[in-house]
Amino acid sequence: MADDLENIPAVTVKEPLDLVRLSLDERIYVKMRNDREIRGRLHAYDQHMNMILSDAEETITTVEIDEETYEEVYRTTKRNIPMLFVRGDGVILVSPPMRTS
Amino acid sequence: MSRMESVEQGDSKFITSGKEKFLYYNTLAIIVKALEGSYTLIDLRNENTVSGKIARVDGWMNIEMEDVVFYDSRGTKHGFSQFFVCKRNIRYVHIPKGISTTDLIEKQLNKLSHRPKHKKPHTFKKSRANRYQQETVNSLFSVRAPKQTAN
Repeated sequence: MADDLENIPAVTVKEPLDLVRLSLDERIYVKMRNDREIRGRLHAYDQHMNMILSDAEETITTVEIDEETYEEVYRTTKRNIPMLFVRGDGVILVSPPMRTS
Repeated sequence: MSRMESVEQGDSKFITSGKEKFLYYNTLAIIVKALEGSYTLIDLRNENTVSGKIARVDGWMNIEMEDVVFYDSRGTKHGFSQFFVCKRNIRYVHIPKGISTTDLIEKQLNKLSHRPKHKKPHTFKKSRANRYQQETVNSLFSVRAPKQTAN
């Protein structure tokens, strides 16, 4: 009985990119090089992780050092882009949408 | 000769190798290809931005642009009439509003696979060969035909 349950896969994930395929047409989170993050709806991707995202919100995090206290100050700048082609070589990770939210 | 012909055909005239064709059909380079002729913004890896008309794209996503305004990271503008972006310097390509990406890909695939029929020149040699062939076929049948009736 327990074996039967294990044999039924909830979703067919055979290779890593299948996980990305399951996120098609959903809002995903993409972590990019140079402290950039993008949230957007995934329209298409390929094996290089080139991606097409719509309603993308890019967050750039910069670190500045306060001249008086020498503390690190993180500053984020955000911008919205209606439709964006992201080149795959800058992608660090792709996270599927959160089921709970 | 055949290579020359395939190079000169229609929209696929800049496809130089099978590898490039493979890339068009298997990667998202095709969507940048589909943006040829439209005005877009390209973000580069070195924090600079280029805005202008995409003139030509190859399978590896190298982009040739025209009428370009180049914004460096401080926001200073520089104008260029021709501009070449090497593939590895691209970070983002902004896609113009109101474009369906699936339509874009579909249209571009149709364009790439469209092969206008190559008209071969009509030569005397060819028409003569045709005529001879027709004559031999006719003569064969005319020899055969009476036999069949005899049987």
